Parts: sequence; structure tokens; C-alpha cells
Amino acid sequence: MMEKIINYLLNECNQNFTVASKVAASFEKHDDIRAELEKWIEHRVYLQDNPLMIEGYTAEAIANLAPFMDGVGAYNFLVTLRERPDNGKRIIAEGFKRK
Amino acid sequence: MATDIYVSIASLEEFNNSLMQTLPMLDELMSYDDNLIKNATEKITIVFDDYAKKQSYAYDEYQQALDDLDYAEQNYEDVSDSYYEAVETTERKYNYIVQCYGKIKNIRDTYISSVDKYRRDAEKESETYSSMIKKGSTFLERYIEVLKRSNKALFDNVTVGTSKERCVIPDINESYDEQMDALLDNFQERKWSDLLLEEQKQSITDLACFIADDTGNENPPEIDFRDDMGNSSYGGYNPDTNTIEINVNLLDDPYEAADTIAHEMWHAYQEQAKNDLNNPRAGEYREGIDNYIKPEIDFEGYENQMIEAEARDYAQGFKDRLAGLKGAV
Repeated sequence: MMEKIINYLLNECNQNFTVASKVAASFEKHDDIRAELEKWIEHRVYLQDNPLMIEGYTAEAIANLAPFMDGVGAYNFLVTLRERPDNGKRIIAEGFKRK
Repeated sequence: MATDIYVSIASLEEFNNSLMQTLPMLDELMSYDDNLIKNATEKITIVFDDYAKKQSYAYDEYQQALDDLDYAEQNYEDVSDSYYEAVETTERKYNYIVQCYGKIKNIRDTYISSVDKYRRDAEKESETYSSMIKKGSTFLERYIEVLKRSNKALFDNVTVGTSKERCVIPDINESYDEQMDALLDNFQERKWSDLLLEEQKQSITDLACFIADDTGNENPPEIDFRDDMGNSSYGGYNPDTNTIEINVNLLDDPYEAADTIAHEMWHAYQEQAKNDLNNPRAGEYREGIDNYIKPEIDFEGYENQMIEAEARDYAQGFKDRLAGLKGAV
């Protein structure tokens, strides 16, 4: 079920299998987010027609806020916003601080 | 950022000289402006005076035509149309010149008012600029003097870190806490904002050297201060080149600056520790680094992984100490 995401992480993001499996596992419980991510992997554009919106954010909005993010990162962040909205909003408020 | 101190002093002196040279240039520019304004004012005054004379002549002609008509009406039975036509023509001409005169007067008044305002603003800006340059130059002269005096001492000390940055090994007679407090002193908000960028960089480098000593890092990383990093990336550690990158555009906040260098130095320690057979946590570090989750693909996973959590905890110690210094002031 996760092949498409794992293959993308292995082949295009140069991640090893451990990391790819771990990251892909985030989407296991969220079929709607996974389906939209798979469309992104296929077309490399964010869904414009009625995209998923979680806590007021679409994947494209996240990618605009954090331009360094890959599509997988943007959709992964939707999982964060759904499962741990307070943490997701903290990260947004801090401006996706990286060190 | 190559920082041979001799080159830095020469560059600063050259910069200082070039700053001071802008003052006579500014005077010259103001004088040039004065001449332009004077010439333009003279020209507009000539045109204005010319129209004042034309208005006066036109008025006289008009009055003469009226007088002629009055005389003709009193002395002749049939007054020729030419008298009436002369009155109409001179009146039209006079009215036209009055209008022109009014417009020219408005233009002149607006010009004089604008030039006055421009001149006042320019003088004010010129004074502000001169004052800033003189203060800046005085400060630079003092700074250069301090650099020169500390030059020898700086080079006599052990060089640690990188070919790009040098620092002074802390005095071994001081306690750990005293050394840390001395190094963190510059990171206090009040002091930090008064430091030049180069001084801020030096403070960061000194703190990095202290941490290298503290963590037993035998191969301290280079510190590369960069201005081309993303606006949310404070810094990073590149194990391939053993380089710490610091985003100079995000050095306004001293807490973040201290936190970032401590954080990245801990990553440098982790990189060294993973290959240290005597380190009981070498295996954990190897696994954590080999399976490092990048923020590009999983931001929360990136934050939560052991490698990052540990670096944050280590850096927090410096932030707490810095907060304590602030409280002590």
C-alpha cells in the first residue's frame, strides 16, 4: 500500500529503506492524505480541486510556508496537524525553525 | 570568511578612509546643488520680471486706448469703430498677460517654496550623515586600535577550530562556570546589540572553541558564516566537510546565536563519538546519524529524533546559563 511513497523516498529523495519505511508509515492511518500525496508523486502538483484542509492548512499552503519542504514533507505535516494540532501550530508559529 | 587579522585591519583602515572621503564629496554635492538652485532661481526671476514689465506696458496701452476713445466721444459726432476695436484689442491683450503673470507667479512661488523645503531637508540629512560618519569613524579608529593592540596576543595563543576562524583557549585557571559565563557575557542582549558583526562572529567562534574543549572534540569543525541560507535555517552541521554553517542573517537574537552554535557543536561531537570505540553510545549515534530524518520529508520526525533532541538539550544548558546571567544583572 505504501510502495509508491517508499519508492519515491528511496529513488528520488535518496533515503535508505529504514528512513523511507518510517516516514511512509506516518500515512498508514490516513488514507485520504496518502491518496493525495500519491497524486502529488504522480503529477508533482498540489491538488487544486477541493484539496484536503486540516486545521485550516492545505499541503500547498504548508509548502508555501516552508519552501524547503518536499511534497512528502508537506503531506506529512498534514498528518502532524491532524494527530497533534498543537505541535503543528507551534512549528508553524516558530517558522519551521531548523538547526 | 577568511580572517587573517592583518588583512582585517588593513581593510578596516581602508574602509574608514573611504568613509571620511565621503564628507568632502558631500560638501561638494551640496555646493553643486546650491549653484543649480541659484541659477534656476535667477532664470525664473528674469522671466517673472519680464512678465511684470509686459503687464505694465499692456496696462498702459489699454488705458491709452480708453483715453483715446473718451476723447473721440467728446469731440467727434461719429466715432470711428477703430477706437472701440483698439479698446477691445488692448483689453484682451492686457487680460491675457495678467493671466500669464498669475501663472508665472504661482510657478515661481511653488518653486521657491519647494526649493526651500528641499534645501532644509538636504541640510538636515547632510548634518545627520556627517554626524553618523564622524561617530562611526571615531568608533572604527578605536576598534582598529584595539585590534592592533590585541593582535600579537591573539596570534600567540593556540589556534583552535578552523582555517577560517581563530579563537583563544579559555584561561585554564578559571572554573568551568566562570569560563562559560565570561564567554556568554557578550551574548547578553544589551551587549550583543552593541557588537559589530565581526565581534558577534568572534563571540560565536570563542563559544564553539569552549564547547570543543568541553566535549573533548579533537577535530573541531570549521565555522562558515553564510548569508545565503534559507530564512528559517539558523545553522547546520555538515559531517562530510566537518563544517558548521551559521546563518548571519539570523544573528539578531543572541539566545538563538548561542543556542545554534551549541546545538551544531553537539552534532559535531555526535559525529566524532559515533566512531569512538570507547564511547558507550557510539552505536546509538551511528544508528541515529545513518537513519537521520531530514526536515524536508518529515518535520516532526526530524525534531523528535534522538540526534536532534539531544542537541537541543545540550544547547538548552547554555540558554539557561545565559538567562541566569541576565537575571544576575
